[in-house]
Amino acid sequence: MPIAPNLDQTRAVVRLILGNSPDLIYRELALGKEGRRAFLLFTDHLVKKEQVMGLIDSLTIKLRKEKYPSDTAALTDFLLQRAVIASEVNTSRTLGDVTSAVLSGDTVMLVDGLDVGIRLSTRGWEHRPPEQPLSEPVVRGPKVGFTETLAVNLALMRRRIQSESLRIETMVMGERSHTTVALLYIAGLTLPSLVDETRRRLQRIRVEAVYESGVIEELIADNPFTVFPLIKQTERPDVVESQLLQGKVAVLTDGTPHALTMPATFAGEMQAAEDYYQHWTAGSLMRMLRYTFLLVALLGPSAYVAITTFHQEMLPTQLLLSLMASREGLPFPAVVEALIMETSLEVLREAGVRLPKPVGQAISIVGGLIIGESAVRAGLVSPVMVIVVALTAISSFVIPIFAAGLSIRILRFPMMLLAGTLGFYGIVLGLLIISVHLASLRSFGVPYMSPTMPPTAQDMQDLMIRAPWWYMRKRPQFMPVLDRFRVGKNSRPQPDKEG
Amino acid sequence: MAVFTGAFLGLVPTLTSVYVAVRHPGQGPAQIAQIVLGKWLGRLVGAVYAAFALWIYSLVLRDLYDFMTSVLMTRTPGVVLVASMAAVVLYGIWGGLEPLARVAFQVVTAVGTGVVLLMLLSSREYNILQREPFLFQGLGAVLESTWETATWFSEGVIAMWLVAHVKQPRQAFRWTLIAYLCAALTLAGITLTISLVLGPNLPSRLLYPTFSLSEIISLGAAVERLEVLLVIVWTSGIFIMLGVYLLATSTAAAHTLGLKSHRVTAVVLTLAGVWIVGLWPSSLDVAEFSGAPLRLLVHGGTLVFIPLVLLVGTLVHGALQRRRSASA
Repeated sequence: MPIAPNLDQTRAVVRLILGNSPDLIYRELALGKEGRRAFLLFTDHLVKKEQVMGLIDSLTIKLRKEKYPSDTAALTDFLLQRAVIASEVNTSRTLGDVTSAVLSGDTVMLVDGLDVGIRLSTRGWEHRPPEQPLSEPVVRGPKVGFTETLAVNLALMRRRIQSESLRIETMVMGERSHTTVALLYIAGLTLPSLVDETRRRLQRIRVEAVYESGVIEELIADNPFTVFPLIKQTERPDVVESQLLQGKVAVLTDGTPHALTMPATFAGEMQAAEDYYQHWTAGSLMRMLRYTFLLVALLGPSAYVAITTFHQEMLPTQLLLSLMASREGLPFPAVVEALIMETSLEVLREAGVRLPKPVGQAISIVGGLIIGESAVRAGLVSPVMVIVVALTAISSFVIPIFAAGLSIRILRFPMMLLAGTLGFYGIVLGLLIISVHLASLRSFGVPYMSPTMPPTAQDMQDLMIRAPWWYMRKRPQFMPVLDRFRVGKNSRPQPDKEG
Repeated sequence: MAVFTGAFLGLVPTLTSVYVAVRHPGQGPAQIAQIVLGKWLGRLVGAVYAAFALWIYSLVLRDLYDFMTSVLMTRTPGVVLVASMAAVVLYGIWGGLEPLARVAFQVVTAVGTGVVLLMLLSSREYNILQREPFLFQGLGAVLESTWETATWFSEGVIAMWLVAHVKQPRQAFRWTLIAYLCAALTLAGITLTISLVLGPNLPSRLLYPTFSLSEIISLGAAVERLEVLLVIVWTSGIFIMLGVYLLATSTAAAHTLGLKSHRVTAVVLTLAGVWIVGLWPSSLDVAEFSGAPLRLLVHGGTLVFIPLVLLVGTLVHGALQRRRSASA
């Protein structure tokens, strides 16, 4: 709907559209010597109050004796260039533009006789400062994470990549929420086809509201039925930076600190930011430990169930005897025992996360120590099972990305059932199903199991081990990019020949 | 030595099949046969290949059945074990060859590592004198054993199905030869190890000599009897083999029947395979042990005769096409 030159009429229509919400402020003004009627429209607590006050001061005090042009075009130019103070000023031609600008934190000035609104960028609201992300802490590395404010997050990215090739495109999503979403990539590095594909998938989204980036993730992922995260999510700007510099694209969503980067790979989910900040030997050790304990997290209880139920002959006699002695008199078969213990652990974990922090810790202590101890004393579970479950729980925390850990936790249950019914044969069948499933997954055209399935020899330098930086001259081969090199020639440190 | 002579003999039908497949990129054997031999004769060849691949699929499934029920899962009904594996294999080929091929690389790596570990861990038991009786048998024994290995290596005609999915078919020859060499070295290595440890007589009486070899391994006092781990690797290898043959039989059947997707035939043939193995096992005994003439007919016909016919047909077809294009 166009803006009517009659101010009273425009005001009435705006009120009709926006309602009489108490947070919408209509500030009446009289401009210049002639006292031309105008009003400012903005949303309380979404604007920088000082900026709006400065604007009112300029219009009503500093320019009160100024003669405003009578011609509409000249008046618009005068207002845009001289009268209003803001870092960004432009015009709105429809009432739709006016309302969306006001609701996003901008201020709009409507003037009697003008069929355009003067839109001023005055966005500013309370937000928490960037802090160390709770879900991805590091010992060595930047202690800063994204916040819920997109502008802050974009500024964090600009600070990390001060290159003119960093491109940021924004779009608005959610029919009612009008959430701003930013698409980031590096021009000249990221494949244009990947950017186009991501943009196309984002533009295809039709939802009422984007509550969190998880909504976008579910709506643009390649396979909606897999338990594995096909899009990497992170709260760390340094991780987004590294992903962008691998030729990937990132999506930041207003209202959440969780950024999305794509394409994702399973190996990528096993990489922690700190692997690249510590010395490569330490990083490699951590990697190897992580992969080893990934197997424990997935197969710990199932292996225990398979061995105690079907393959006792695998164990040395002494170990077997003590194991059987600890299971003596237990009312449940090993598989039921494992299922009960694992379910209890998941309940405790969920309760610990949902409850306030001090209560959550108490729940963990009560659940983990007291109930576990009591269950063993009561003869409901064996002490070995408690050890296995505890080790499995610790192992699942080794996986750096929460979503990847979640998928392993989900798969642990069917694996236990398979082990309880078919022993190691069942475990092999389960692993084969998981392998085939993983091998069939793709994330934005890239095989999810890259660089192992299909194998690329060069990329093994950043898989189980993390090779030294001077050795990793090329970007990952599985990721098609426009610029292959990331480390210069002769980067290997060595003393001068004279020295 | 018999392994290498058998491999050399088996190389002829295999390379013939690869050549035929390379000349018809993107086509399975049933489709190739229809191109070079005509619609109906081609369909007949497709049906023969589908039946042959189903037979091998069922034999491998039967191997799994026998091994599991006699060694590892003696109290579990065999049909459950076979049906569960068949279901997993069906899932494995549901999306075509790509996921299976990717998993195959990992499995082959695991199998290779397993074989090397087996050879190394059993090296304490090597006795070179165990080889002596073999030397007295002379070349006659080598030639006698060559037949067994040659038929096994001739199953390389399966490459005709695989080449259809390769992006650069020209590289098929190189990779076939590499795979051949690896398979021959693995088989020769494991045969040598078994004979060095178990001698000349015992392995011939054992149903699963490799499994028996693994039973003697003990890693300190921590873990005994590592054969379960070997079974895990072996089962993964069986999965890949079953997957390849199920894909072969289902695509050949689909092409013969004129279906676009192999999925319907894959479901039907999976059920057929489980039925043959679990509920009608004697059919396989008849097919496998009914004597040399039948085996010669089946192996010679499908592994040698048909590839050669397809080779001749391809050459004639190509020559005719060239003549037509020249006259046009």
